[in-house]
Amino acid sequence: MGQMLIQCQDVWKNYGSQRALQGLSLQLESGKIVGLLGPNGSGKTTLIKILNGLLTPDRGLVLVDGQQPGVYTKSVISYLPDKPYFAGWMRVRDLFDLFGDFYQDFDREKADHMCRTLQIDENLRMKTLSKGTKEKVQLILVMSRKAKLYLLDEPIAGVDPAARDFILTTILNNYNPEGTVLISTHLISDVERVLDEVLFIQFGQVVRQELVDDIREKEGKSVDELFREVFRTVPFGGGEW
Amino acid sequence: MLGKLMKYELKSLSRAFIPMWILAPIIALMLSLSIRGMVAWSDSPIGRMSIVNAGNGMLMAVMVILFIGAVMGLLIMTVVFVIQRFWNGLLKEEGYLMFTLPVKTWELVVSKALTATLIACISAVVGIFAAVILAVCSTEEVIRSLAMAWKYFFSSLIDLNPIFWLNVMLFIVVTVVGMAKSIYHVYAAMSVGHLFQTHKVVGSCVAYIGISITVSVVSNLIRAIMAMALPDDWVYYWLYSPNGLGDTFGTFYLLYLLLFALLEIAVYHILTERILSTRLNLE
Repeated sequence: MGQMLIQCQDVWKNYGSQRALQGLSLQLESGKIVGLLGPNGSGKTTLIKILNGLLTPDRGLVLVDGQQPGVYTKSVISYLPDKPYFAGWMRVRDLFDLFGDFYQDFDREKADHMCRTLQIDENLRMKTLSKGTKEKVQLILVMSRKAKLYLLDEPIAGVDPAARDFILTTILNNYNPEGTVLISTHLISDVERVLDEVLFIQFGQVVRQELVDDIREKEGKSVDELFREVFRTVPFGGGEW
Repeated sequence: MLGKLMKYELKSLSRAFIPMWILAPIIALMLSLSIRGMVAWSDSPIGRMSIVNAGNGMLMAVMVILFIGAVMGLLIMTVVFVIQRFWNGLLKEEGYLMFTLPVKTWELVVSKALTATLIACISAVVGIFAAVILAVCSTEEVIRSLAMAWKYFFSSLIDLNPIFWLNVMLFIVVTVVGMAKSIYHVYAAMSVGHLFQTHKVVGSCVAYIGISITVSVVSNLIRAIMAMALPDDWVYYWLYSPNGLGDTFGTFYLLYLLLFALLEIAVYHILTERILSTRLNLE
């Protein structure tokens, strides 16, 4: 059994009167690819933002590699947000310089190589890039780090199936095998093949945490099937239209 | 890490400001040359007879207003960029990048404040430089009177005591620290505004006004206490410093301004850093 990389204990987070996390608890080991799965609004992004320090929990304990979110945890987390966070004036190479300056685990050669493979000109400014290319640059930045924890928030949402394959292959080929990859998504069937473990999250709580192999062996179902079963909603309260 | 953060902050700001810093003196020079041409024209025999002459004065006034507008533009641009770099750079999407860098929150705040102060100081120097160019190149009279004033200034320097120089230095320091204080005031207000669930911009504006009122009340209280504690003539000097930069009272007053500004900076910094460290919510 590997060392616990993420520990959350009774974590609560509200946005005004809206509850995002309601006493969420979980533990995750190192060296796994984990799917953070749940319907829209279940608390996936909130949990990821709390782990990397962009949100402060109302209460509860959050530890990453044994430490509360801070300078150390940020140095070992590689975060892919659900939207671009670049200043438009920056060139691709400016971003590579920035990551090289601040993250000791950033592999510039790897980033350059990935750029060449994808035929992205490093001299281009971010504001001139298409949405898809921006996402690729963001993915290159995140996967060129040898991080302990990769937090990928909806990496395949809003892209075509071919791009999804590319993204997942990039993640698989480039992540640090000693680290953990936490992928948040609701597109289960696309990510299922790469996952070791799944976390089902609903109403701000972890409702199920299991190894993918166990789901297949014990229940004889795919993760996608189990997801549909767990999160099944009955339209119109079961009544007639 | 502070140096690295400042490097990127400077890179971001200088893109917008360097063209303005180059353009302002050039505009001033062109303006002064046109003013000079117009003056020469209106003084010439033909110009004096021309009906255009009456319009020239108005045109010159318009150009001066234009120049003042350009300098004001530089000032407004500085203020807007200070606000935008903090708001967009830390509290909006770009904040995702900045707050996931392995740096301490105080380093993020200080890097922004130092860079913004530097940019504001350079803009002020460029504004003054442009105004001097405009004045010097416009008319012969201005050049002559400026040259005389300069000569007088230097000849009178011999008579001045070291306190004058101390006060001049203090005045410059107070001005720079005052700029940093104003910038931190805006940062603190935006951080307080960030605590609001909705209407964060309105919250920031209300916080700015609230902080201003508080500072004004505290400052006046200190003045009142000092007025009661000090002998009457000291109060008079302290409040009005009639001899300006030339005496010890001027030094006291400048020191008071400096200490008060430093105190304000310390309070604003702690407020901003604490809010961003413990109450950050980049939704």
